[in-house]
Amino acid sequence: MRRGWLPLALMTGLIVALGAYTQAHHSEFLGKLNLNGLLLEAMPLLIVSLGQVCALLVGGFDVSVAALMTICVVTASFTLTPTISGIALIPGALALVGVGLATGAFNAFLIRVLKLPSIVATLGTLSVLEGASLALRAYPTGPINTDVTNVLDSSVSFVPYAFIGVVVLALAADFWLYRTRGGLALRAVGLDATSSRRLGMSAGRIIFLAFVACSVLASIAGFYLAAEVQVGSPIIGNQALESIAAAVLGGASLAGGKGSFVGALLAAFFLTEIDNVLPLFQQPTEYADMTIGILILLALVLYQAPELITRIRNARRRPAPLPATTGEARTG
Amino acid sequence: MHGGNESHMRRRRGRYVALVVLIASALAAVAVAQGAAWGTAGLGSGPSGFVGNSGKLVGKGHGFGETYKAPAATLSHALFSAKLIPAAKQPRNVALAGLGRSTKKVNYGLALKCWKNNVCKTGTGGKLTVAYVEGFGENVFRQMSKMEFILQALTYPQVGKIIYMSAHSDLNQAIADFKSVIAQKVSAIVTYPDFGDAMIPVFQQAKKAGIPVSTYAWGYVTGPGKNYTTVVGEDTCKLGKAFAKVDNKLISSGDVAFMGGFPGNPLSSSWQKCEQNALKPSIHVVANDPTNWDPSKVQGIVAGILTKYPNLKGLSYEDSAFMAQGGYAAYKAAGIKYQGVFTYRTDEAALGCLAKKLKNPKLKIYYYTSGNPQIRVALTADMMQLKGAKIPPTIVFPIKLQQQSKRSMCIKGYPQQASASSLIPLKLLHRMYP
Repeated sequence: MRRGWLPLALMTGLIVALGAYTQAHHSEFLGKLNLNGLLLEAMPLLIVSLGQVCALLVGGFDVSVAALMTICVVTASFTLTPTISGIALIPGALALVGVGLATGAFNAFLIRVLKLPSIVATLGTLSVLEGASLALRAYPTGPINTDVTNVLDSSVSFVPYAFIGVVVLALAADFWLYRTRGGLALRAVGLDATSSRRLGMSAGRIIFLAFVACSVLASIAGFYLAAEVQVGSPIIGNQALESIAAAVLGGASLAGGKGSFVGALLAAFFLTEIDNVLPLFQQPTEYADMTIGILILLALVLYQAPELITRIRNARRRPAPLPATTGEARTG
Repeated sequence: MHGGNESHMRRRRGRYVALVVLIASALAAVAVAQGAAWGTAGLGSGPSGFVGNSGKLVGKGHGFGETYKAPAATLSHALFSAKLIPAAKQPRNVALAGLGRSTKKVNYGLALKCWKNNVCKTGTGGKLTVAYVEGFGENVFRQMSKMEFILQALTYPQVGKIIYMSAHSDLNQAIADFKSVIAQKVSAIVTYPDFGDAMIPVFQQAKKAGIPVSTYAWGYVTGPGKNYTTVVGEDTCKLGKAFAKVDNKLISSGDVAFMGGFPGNPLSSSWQKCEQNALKPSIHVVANDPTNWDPSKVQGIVAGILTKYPNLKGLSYEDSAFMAQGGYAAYKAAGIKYQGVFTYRTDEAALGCLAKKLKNPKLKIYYYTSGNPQIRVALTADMMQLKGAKIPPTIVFPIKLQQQSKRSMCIKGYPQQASASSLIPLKLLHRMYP
């Protein structure tokens, strides 16, 4: 439990430290305009990172999220046009969620039924969605209803309502994950699908739902990308690797079974903060990519250090088991 | 045996030391040579752009801190003819004011220093900060535009700081960069909006914050004059039609190919659509491939097109330099003669010099200017708006394609990657691309 707090503490510390350092050099950082811009800019990554945690918890990846977000923006340019108003906007908005649901179900089908590795399955979906976006909109065109984008961007002071909503969602999701039987089942399936199936859990259904949840959250993130560009841009989504990075920095294990929605939220915010801060210092954006890469490596080493140390100690204390024994233990 | 080992090890150690010293000396020599090439000292100062020797000026009048006159030689160099300036009075005045600043003296060392950095102070103590923010800046064309922007900014003593940002082809980063310069309260923004209308919300934010935004090279975003100050450039649809006119005249029938920049970028899609519509029915567009304006991709793409269509009659693209490098290499590798009707938007020296070398009358190259100096006009438009001028929503330069066999892009002593119609002084170009 104590170890679970490490990513949260680290990310909070980094957010505060980077913010304080920036504010000391650039007073406009904590300006209302910049903070509001930062929080709105963070929204797509915050939401899609929560989805990515779902996929990572069951031991998978979803690299199709970026292309899914893009096709949601493109879809919005057809279903949420400026000519529609009022209640008629609801079906248009539901269309985006529908695209998310369909993509999630498709990914889950590839992974569960066809037994494709998640990275291969979602990579295939990514290509299909990217091509479809470009086929629907060859270039950025098709204005998106500003009533919708204004609602999405509406804020109290500099804090968007949606940001408050996503924080509440992450807290509730972490409570569910660590304090309920459903959450326990999700983690158990991620840790060892075979054993949890033998214990009576429906591993297949849980994995299916995890990928669907991931895609649905990505489609909701697509709303915020749509609000950002307000036009059907076929080349906007690129948050796939960043969302995986955020989930991992937030404490998710690449092997599954471990993760934190709040941790991913903090990490996603920190990654956006880096993007926001570098231009203030007039530093090239490639530094952001390098920083993110180094941070992921450091986080992986740091978070897994206790396990690594234990493994090394155990290896020193007793001779390595014979391969046949290991095989038996695994299958037994 | 033991002694033998020791002396062997000593010899090996000696060799290692010699090798390390050699490598260190080589590195030091390279560093010194590079330093000399990249150094900013000894460059002196001079006109901010090409001015020629004639001294003849085109235009008349003045206002909003500008003189609406430009040397005829500057216009001929940048636009191929002093007559190819906008016809209407307002855009003509802004164009002449912008290009006419080529006569103003600037410090070349400072310009080079600014070009190598993302931010620089001009040392004038001026209160204005100007920013060139673009979605992508990693090719020679964009880097030359950056220098043209810096040279133009240095002609304004009221500019104290110059900022440059590239989002490395990342739309989200481009939006973040734009928001950042708005938060920093810069005085004026010039941009190449690689992502088209996706930039409208941030353009509107800048406008709301009282910051003029101008685009160049027909980086077209909907609503110039309403969502942002102005767009400077040539009409890319007319460019596509001009390409088609050449094809229709020189190709009786057969296959042609298009290449473009990023998928969905407005510049490529505009000329491609208009060229395709204007081609006669016997000419078929068999390929339309995005290159991301990345020179390393061009060879593979051209090779792919040639594999399927070895009898390709023509090709249209933006960057002529890439076709002198990767494009030519692909033809060579395929064992196909480098000939056909090639139409380009830019005029880098490399392709002109290659054509001169090949001396193949069946290689028919037509080109337009790369338009780097258009960024100067865009900055001047912003500066004039800050002084209260009413800026026309579009500043459009007329198009006249040039024929390589009649007007060569190959200029003696010119860096091969550079556009021959750039206004950057040669002295600086040689330091940028030694």
